Formats: sequence, C-alpha cells, structure tokens
Amino acid sequence: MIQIEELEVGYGRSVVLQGLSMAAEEGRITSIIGSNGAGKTTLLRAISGMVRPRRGSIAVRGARLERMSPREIVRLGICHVPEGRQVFPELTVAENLRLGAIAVGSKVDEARQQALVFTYFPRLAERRGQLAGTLSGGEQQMLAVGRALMAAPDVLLLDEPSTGLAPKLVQQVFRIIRELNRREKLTVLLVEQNPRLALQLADYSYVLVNGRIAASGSADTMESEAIVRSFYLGSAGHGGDAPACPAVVGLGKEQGD
Amino acid sequence: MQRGLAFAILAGSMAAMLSGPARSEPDMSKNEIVIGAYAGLTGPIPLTGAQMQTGWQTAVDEINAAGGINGRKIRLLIEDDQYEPSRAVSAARKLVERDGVFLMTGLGTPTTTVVARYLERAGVPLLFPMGASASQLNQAGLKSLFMAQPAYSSQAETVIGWMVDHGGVKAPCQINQVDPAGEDHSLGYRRAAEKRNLPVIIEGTERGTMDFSAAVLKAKNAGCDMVYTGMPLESSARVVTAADRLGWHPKFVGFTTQADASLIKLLGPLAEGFHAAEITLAPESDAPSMRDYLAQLKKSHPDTPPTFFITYAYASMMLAAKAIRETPEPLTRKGVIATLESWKEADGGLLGPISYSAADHDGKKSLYIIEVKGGRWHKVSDWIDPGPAR
Amino acid sequence: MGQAIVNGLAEGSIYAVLAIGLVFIYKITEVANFAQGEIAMVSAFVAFTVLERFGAPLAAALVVAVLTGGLAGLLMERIAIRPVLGSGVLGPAVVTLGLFFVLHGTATVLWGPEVHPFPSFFGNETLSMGGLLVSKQHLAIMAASLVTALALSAFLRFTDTGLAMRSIPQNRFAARLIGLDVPRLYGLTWMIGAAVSAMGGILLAPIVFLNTNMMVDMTNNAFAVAVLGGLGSLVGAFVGGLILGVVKNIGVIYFPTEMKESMAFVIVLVVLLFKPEGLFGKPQFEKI
Ligand SMILES: Nc1ncnc2c1ncn2[C@@H]1O[C@H](COP(=O)(O)OP(=O)(O)OP(=O)(O)O)[C@@H](O)[C@H]1O
Ligand SMILES: [Mg+2]
Repeated sequence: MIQIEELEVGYGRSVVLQGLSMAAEEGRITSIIGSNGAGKTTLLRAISGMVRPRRGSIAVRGARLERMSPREIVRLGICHVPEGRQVFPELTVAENLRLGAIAVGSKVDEARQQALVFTYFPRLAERRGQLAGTLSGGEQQMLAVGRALMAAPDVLLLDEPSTGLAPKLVQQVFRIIRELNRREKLTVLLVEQNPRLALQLADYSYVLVNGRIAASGSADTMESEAIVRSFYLGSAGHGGDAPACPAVVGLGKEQGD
Repeated sequence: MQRGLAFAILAGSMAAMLSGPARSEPDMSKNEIVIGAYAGLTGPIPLTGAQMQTGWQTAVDEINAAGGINGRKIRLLIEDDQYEPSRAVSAARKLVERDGVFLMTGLGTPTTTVVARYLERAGVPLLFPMGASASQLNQAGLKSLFMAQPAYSSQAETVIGWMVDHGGVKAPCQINQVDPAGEDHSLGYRRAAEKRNLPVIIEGTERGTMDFSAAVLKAKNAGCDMVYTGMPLESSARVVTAADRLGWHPKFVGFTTQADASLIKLLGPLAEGFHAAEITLAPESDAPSMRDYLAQLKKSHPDTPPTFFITYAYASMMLAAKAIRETPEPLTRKGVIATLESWKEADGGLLGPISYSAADHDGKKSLYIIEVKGGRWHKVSDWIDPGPAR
Repeated sequence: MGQAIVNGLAEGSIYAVLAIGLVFIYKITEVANFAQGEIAMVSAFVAFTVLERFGAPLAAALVVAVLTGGLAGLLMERIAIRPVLGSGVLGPAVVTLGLFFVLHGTATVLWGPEVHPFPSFFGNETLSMGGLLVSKQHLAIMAASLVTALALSAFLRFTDTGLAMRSIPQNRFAARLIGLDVPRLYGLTWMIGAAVSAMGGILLAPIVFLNTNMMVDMTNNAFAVAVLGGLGSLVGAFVGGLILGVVKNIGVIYFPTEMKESMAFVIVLVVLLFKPEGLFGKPQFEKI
C-alpha cells in the first residue's frame, strides 16, 4: 500500500534518510524500529508531507505523495499522530477532535467518527469539555490518536505512541492500535524505540539505522529479538554507519514477496 | 598626524565661518541677478511648496517680461529641501557657494530658522521667507533677515485684541498645538489679555491630535466665549466640530493659516462666523497691484486660483525686486540691506505698508480681520497696524 | 465629569475599532500589523474617490472601501508577510512597518496632502441624554466597534473556520499536520482584520477629515489599547479602548491638557505592572 523507493530526506545540509526503500502492506501493522536520531520521525514526516524529500518516491495506492501538501495527504486518508502528542492545549478535547474532522471537510461524518473515537477512548468522552493542555500525558496521547481518527483515515502513522506512558497504559494503547487495525481495517505504520513491543504488535518490521533500512522481517522470521536488539543497540552505541551484520542483512532480503 | 590635519581643517573652517560676513560679494553681472530659494517641493508640505514656486515664478515672469530690474533679468533657482532643516542648509550652501546667488528667499519656519543663521554668517540677505517665529526669526535680531510675514505672536495679539475690542468677546481663550509656533501664539494672547486685564486660559494639544473634545470641554467649562486656535488649519476645523458635538458654539478665531477656502470646504455651515487674519490684499480687491497680479497669474499659470501662498510668494518676490530697484549702483548685498532699512511705510503692494529700521527687521505687522459669512471670507476690518515691536 | 466620561467613551470607541482589527490579526497570526491604520486611511480615500469621481452613492462607496481594505489585507499577507513568516517575530514586524511607509507614501502621491471633508452616514447631529451630549457619529462608532468585537468573537467561537483559526497560534505544526489550510486561513485572517480597520477608517473620516495623516496617532493609541486589553482578546480591545478614552478625558480635568497623550502610555504601564497579560489576556499556556 505504501511503497517508498530510494527516499532521500534532509534538513539544511544534513542528510537524514539516504536512499531508503520500504513498503507497508494494506491492512497490516508495519513497525519501524531504530535508535534515537535514526530518522524514524523524519520518515513519517516525509510521508505526511511535513518535510519535502529531495529524491525518491512515496506512493500510496498509486498516488505519488512526494510533492503533495500535508493537507492533500490527509485528504487521501493518511493521518499522522506525531511524536510528543502535539494537541492544541487551549482548546477543549471536543474542539481538538472536531479539528481533525474540519481539516478534511465535509467528506467525513463528524458525529459518527466522534462516536467511534469515544468507543475506543471512553476517557475522552468523560473529558470532552476539558482543555487539552490540562490532560494527563496518556490522555493527550489518546486525544492525538482520536484527532487523527476523526478524519476517517485508512492509514495511520503513529510516532512513538508509548513514550512516557506507564507499562500498563502502553499495553492498553497497543491493544487499541491492534483493534483499530483489525476492526476498522486501518493500515498502521508504527514507529517505536522499543523493539520488543514493536515486534510483538507488528506484522512486519523494519530496523532503521542512520537513515537506512538495516533489517526487516516479520516477528517470526526475525531470527530472534536478541539479534535485533544487540544489532541496533550496538550500532547505536558506535554511532557510526558500520556495515550491517550478515545475519541481519539476510533477514532484509526475505522481504517483498 | 591625522589629528593634526583634522585640527587644521577644523580651524580653517572655523576661520572661514567667522570670516563669513567679511566674505567678498560676487561680482554683479550687468544683465542678470540670481535669486535662490529653498522650499519643500516633496516631503510633508509639497502642496505649499508648489504654490510658493508658482507665486515666485509668476513674479519673476512679470519682472523679466518688463525688461528686468534696471536692465538685469532675474534667474530664480529653487532647491527642494523636503521641509527638512538639514537639507535646507545644504540647499542654501549650494545656492550661495556654487551658484553665487545674490539673495535668498524660502519656505518653512523650521527650515528658515536654521538657514537664516547660515545666511547671516555668509552675509547673504534672506528676504521675506514664508514662516514666522517671534523669537527665532521676526525678533531674533538677525542683520540679513527681513520678514514680511507677521510673527504668530503679533498676529495672535492683534486678532484677539480686535475680537475683544470690536467683536463683542468677553472671555477669550486659546487652544494651541504644543510646539514653538504654539508658544508664539500664547505669547501674543498673553499680551492681549494682560493689556485688557483678562484671565489667560490656554489648552495645549499634541501635534496630530484628532479628537479635541477634551480640550474643548475644558475651554467650555472655563466659560470662554471665544476660542483662538493656534494650530494647523485642519486641526482648527476639528476643534470646531468637537465643540459642535458638545453643542457649544463660541466664536472661533484663527490667524493667517486659517484664512483659506479649505476651512469653509471642511466645515461647511459650521465655518460661519470663523474669524481669521489676512496679511495680503484679497483677490476681490480693486487695487491696481491686485489687478496686475491676477492678470500675470492668468498668463503664467492659467487655471490656477490665487491662493494665499501664491499671493504671498508673488508679493514677496515683487517686494524683493522693489528693494533691488531702489538700491543705487553698484548693486551690493549691503546696499540692498541699507535700502530695506530705510523703508518707512513703503508701499508693499499686495502686502500693504511696510517699515523697517536697523533695529527692527520685523517690518510687517499689519493685518486685517476676515470672517466667514454666507460661505465666503469677508473683510470685516481695515488694515490694523500695531506699530513697532516692543 | 459626566460629559468627560461620555467624550472618553466616544474617543475610546475609535481606538477600539482599530484595536479590534489589530488584535484579530495578532491573535491568529502573531504579527503586529503596524500598517493597520494606513489600510484604513487608504480604504477611506478609495471610498472618497468613488464618491467624488464616479458620484457613487455613499453606501456603495462604503462597500467598496471595506472590500478594498479586505483585498489590501489579503494581498499584504500573500506578498509581503508570508515570505518572512519563518524568520522570528521581528521579520514580520519590520515588514508591516515598511508597509506603513509604503501605504502612507503611495497615498500621499496618489491623493496629495490635502484635507478633505468626508460625508457621514449618520449625519452631524448630537443627541442629548440626561444633559450629556454625544454625537450620532460617535454612537455609531461605539455600536460598530461593540458589534464587531462580538461578531468576531462569535465567529471564532462558534464556526469551524473560527475554530481552525484559533488552533493555529497554539500549535502551527499540528495545524498543518492535521491538514488545516494554514496559508488560506492566514489570508482570511488578514482580510477580515483589514476590512474591520477599513470600516474604522470610514467611520472616522467624517470626524477627523480625510487626510493621509489621519490614522497615525490613532494607530499608536490602538496599539496601547491592544496591549491594555490583553493582546488576544477582542472584547478586551473594545473595553480597553473605552477605558483608555475615558481615563484620558478624565485625566485632563486634573492634569494639563498637554499631558493627555502621554497618559495613554502611563495607563498601559500601570496595568502591565499589575497584570502583565493585560486586562483580558489569559496567562499563556506553553507554546509549542
Ligand atoms: N527540523 C530539523 N532540522 C534539522 N535537523 C533535524 C530536524 N529534525 C530532525 N533532525 C535531525 O535528523 C536526524 C533524525 O531525526 P529524527 O527525529 O528523524 O530521529 P528519530 O529516529 O525520530 O529519533 P527519536 O527516536 O529520538 O525520535 C537527527 O539527527 C536530528 O537531529
Ligand atoms: Mg522521533
């Protein structure tokens, strides 16, 4: 569904993603794991149109996204739940949600989407009149996801939704992501730093190291979590772009069928 | 080394400045007199600048068409100073030092204030500039400056005095713009009030004030029956409308600035009864000097109405020509100054009688009162000449 | 005293009209528009030209002026403001200051420095209420500024577009991310803010006479009012305008009239000393 080829993205003089290629299948949960600064957020921003790629292509159902504005991409049904929640602090929960629908215009049934959000996040229904800036971190995360859902997307880009949440809450958020994927037929692209969680949830995973895909595979085909973890922790520890270890490269080759 | 050089240059220029008055005069050409002028042709007062230019040029056209002054044609050089004192000084410098003008005139009180000091040092007569300030110009004691526009202090004193003596006013007060001109207006008002044992009520307002309600309300509550407005024309009009909104209709009075058709245009019926001062003959006058002037203006600038500034500029240029004509040969700047200082009730043409002496270069204080009646200005007094300065 | 208060309300409502447009633009785009008053002046001149040159009826001229103001705001945003939006607070402020001079200079070239009478929609009559006098024109300005403040507040509060506008200054990144058309909303904001000031110019011109300098002093006061009312509050701008007008007019009873203009800034200073966010401003959430 999302097909990315030879993507190069940078800020100013620095190049963050260097010729990255990957795919995310329709109706699946695809995860991207990688250490700090690997370029995960940059990748999501490139897909949602918040940064303009220098080279390469991003195609979704045949539509090319590289030159589209965030607005056009949202209207294609691709919604980005950003890192750090990014809610509108001085607006109420209800207003934050409404904005998600307003942005895509009359295409969505606002009441229906809101009901949907409230069934997944009953807490938001309780707090609908509260200012978003006064919500707890977990509630803000729910709001950020809920706001994206208001646009009735079919692709959800989630950037580290577990950050700063208590383990129990993390489990809950991940359960909801899975339900959204199963019941609402949402294609999910999930960025995570925690490889165990990501592999557990995702149908397919990519390991991102210094702006390149270093490994990929499904949870079962990924030989062991330990390899992945040691690989990417080790590589992050060196901070350089050391050549990927053969085992993992082998994994990478299995993709694409 | 550097410092020594700088000092030498400084000392040299100081010496040059000090020796200004002793500087030799340019050799007079037998067939030409160059007159310089500074005026704001662009900047904040381009309209006034253009009118002054029209008036000066009309006079020069008339003089040259009649063969010039004693055989010498006038060449008029006008420099745009954008109504900025520093630019005006540069303009005057250029006119004096490069173009070798014989004498100068100009437009603007702030510009004239500084130019007059430069020309005083250079020994170049500055004749009848448009502008007025009792302390800075009219009564500043400058040897080379001759004024034909009464200081605002003497205008205010004369006009307010007349309103009390002949206009039925018992409690005059004043609303001024807070600036040097406003100070001049208060000075004259204080003199007029003092002389008649009246209390002094002055409200000062900022330049650019749009709403005069506060000042007007204070004047109303102070029991004034006349308000003298020492400010630009449109501000005076705002004072009148502010009073009207308070249902207050005292007598309103201004000076030469308000003596203009645009006051009537702005105020409509509210202008009725507004008094102001006029220092030149009115276009309706049947004096021969007025007939000549209107005829020449029609020839030089068809379709241009004889506004105050055009009339003043024309009249002052004719006056300068008169001074040159009456100066015996060889024509020198000192000679012109001596001629002017000898004038006693000389015929100033459109400007009425003019007198100067060695001690008093504020020669023209005469004015007459006009009032708006039926949508037009009407002369309501004869020439009033308050006499020599105290 | 009573009359001074009424005069103050009248004067203050003029500051309010301008301050409302100023605050509206600032609230959404966080740009201080120093050219606000000049838009009003130019729009009033356009109305004047339509009246004089084409003999249009007054109502048509007013409509033309408000449209001109709106269009001017739209163009200003698109041409001059948008390119410098990323460059901090100072960039846009310097640009609007530049626009002040551009509009002022252009107007002087086009229409000259003359002062013109300008017809009023509401006549020149003065009404007497319990011995206190207030002109119909001032009443109209008071009503117009109140209605504008309320209408714009309601627009921001109750419409989708208003909600979208309010969200932008809180998190411009998120606004773009969720698919709001931020450039279009900015353009719309400038259009509305400028149209409001154009309306102010037309209401003011009959009182102060039409001239290129008519808004300069007013704009200074409008900025004082905007800060006084709390930069983000439209109702604050209205109330702030009235307070400034009243305090100035009462102040001159006790102080020399010369002090009137400086009083505006003394009041602002005193208010900010005790309430740094302005009278109606909310303490700020952390900006993202
Ligand atoms: N706006 C920006 N301007 C310049 N450099 C940036 C910008 N955003 C990110 N970067 C740089 O790009 C690189 C990748 O950043 P990115 O945010 O994509 O990493 P990440 O994988 O999401 O990291 P984390 O797990 O810490 O969120 C980093 O070195 C970062 O410093
Ligand atoms: Mg990140």
